[in-house]
Amino acid sequence: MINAIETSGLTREYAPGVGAVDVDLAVPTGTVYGFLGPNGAGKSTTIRMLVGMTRPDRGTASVLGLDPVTETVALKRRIGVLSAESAIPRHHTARSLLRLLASLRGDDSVVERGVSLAERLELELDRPGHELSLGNRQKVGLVAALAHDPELVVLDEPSNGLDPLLQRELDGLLRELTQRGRTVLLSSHSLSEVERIAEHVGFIRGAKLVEQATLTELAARAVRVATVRFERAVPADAFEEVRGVIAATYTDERHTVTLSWQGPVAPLLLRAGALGATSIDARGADLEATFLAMYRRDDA
Amino acid sequence: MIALLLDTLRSRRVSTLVLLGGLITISVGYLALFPQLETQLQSFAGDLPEFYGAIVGDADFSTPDGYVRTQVYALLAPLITAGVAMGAAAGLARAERDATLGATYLAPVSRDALALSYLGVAWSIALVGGVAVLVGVALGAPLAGAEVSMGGIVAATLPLVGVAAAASATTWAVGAATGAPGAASGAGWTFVGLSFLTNSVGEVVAGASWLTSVSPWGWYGAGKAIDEGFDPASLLLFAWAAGAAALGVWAFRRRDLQL
Repeated sequence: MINAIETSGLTREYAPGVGAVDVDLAVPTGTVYGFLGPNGAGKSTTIRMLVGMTRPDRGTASVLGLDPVTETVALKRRIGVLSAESAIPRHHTARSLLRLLASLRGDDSVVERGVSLAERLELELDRPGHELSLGNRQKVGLVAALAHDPELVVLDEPSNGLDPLLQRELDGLLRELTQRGRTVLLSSHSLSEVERIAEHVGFIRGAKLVEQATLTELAARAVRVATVRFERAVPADAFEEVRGVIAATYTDERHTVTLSWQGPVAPLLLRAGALGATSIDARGADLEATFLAMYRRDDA
Repeated sequence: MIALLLDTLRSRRVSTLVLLGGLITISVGYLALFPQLETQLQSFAGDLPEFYGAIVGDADFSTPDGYVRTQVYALLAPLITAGVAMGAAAGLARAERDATLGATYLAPVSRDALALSYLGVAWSIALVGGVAVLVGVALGAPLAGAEVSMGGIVAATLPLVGVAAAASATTWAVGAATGAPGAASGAGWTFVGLSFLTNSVGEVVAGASWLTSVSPWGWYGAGKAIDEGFDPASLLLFAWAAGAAALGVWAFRRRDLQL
């Protein structure tokens, strides 16, 4: 599969651990790629480098086969970007902004597509920019990013200010884009947002890309949680040596153990059985637990 | 580029129209007052220290011609025109701070075109200010009883456009380099203030007259061209503006944008 975005050692470091360092990103064409990380992790810095707003200290980036530093204008013809803090100029309404963008892109159909997108996102087109709420400003940014039907859409925290119904509408819009072969890079700190629509995810933390995988691969490696109850108190190190166990919390005078583990369940069941387990409650794996476990591992 | 320039101009349309109407009205109004004030001004001028005349354009404001120079060209018109132009020039940095620059940056336009659209508007405003002064003085001078030629008015007004262009280019360049509207406006007003101060010191302090030849306010001439004809030194104002524009473009190309 050809990658719409490919970076190698992409770095912009403002201070040690601040910015984005040695980011090797690979975003396959025609997919939604969830770019995850806490606030300040380096998502926006990476995105700014990908769209030519920020120059890297070192490393390379190829976006749709173009260099964001030297071929910025050609690149901007083919991508749509929603930046994290997009705002609409005071003298514009959404409609007049669409007309300006159509003129700058030399494509009159931008207005028509923009109006149609605005209807889907329930955006009032004729309200002045300074009268718009956060959610409506976000909608204007989304409409402006999508109205020219770009090959690649880069969205930084797109659901900011959107209510749950509109978030679903946005999910639908993004799915439609990928069905037509478009690529979406979705930057977010919200796991649930990414989990709903992304096929690939990258985790960035402390300016470094710490993981990049498909959701299927992550699910196979997911952290699962189970609560095991015993007839008798078990030793404090009962699960210390069991393969796959990440953490064990003992309660109820060591009659109950809550375990987090990764991989096959058999070693855990064997040990629990040998200790006289009376019941096991296991919860389904979720991406959030995996994500948090990854961060804990990184802390260690 | 034209679409971008027109859009940026649209964002400043109110201040530009107010400048146009306001400067014409103020110029005509001030000049029309002269016949009523003439006697008082003659008495007032006689009591003022000599250096005051040098600071306000080396003219006697109790005569009709001198009144035109001191009341319109010495301070009022250049300050108002430069002030409005500098406000527009700081618009680039303001738009970056307010994150509204992203709306146009993310369209397929170059950084140069984006940045220069704001400078283009600032310079258009400088030109509008010049036109307003030209019209205001042409209409008001006869009311004051001044005998000034249209050639003289044009010769005095061109440097006024130049001083506004230079001040706004300085503002714009600092904004382009830093993305800080406060720093941009501060730089513009510092340019104006220092220029005026160095020129004034050069005019009144013995042995410091060389300051007037290195001061942009000295190049401006404060309306002297009405009587003396166009001074080629005024072209240095346009050279300054062009130099600041080149520096601003250079800095804006190389800088991270915070959008």
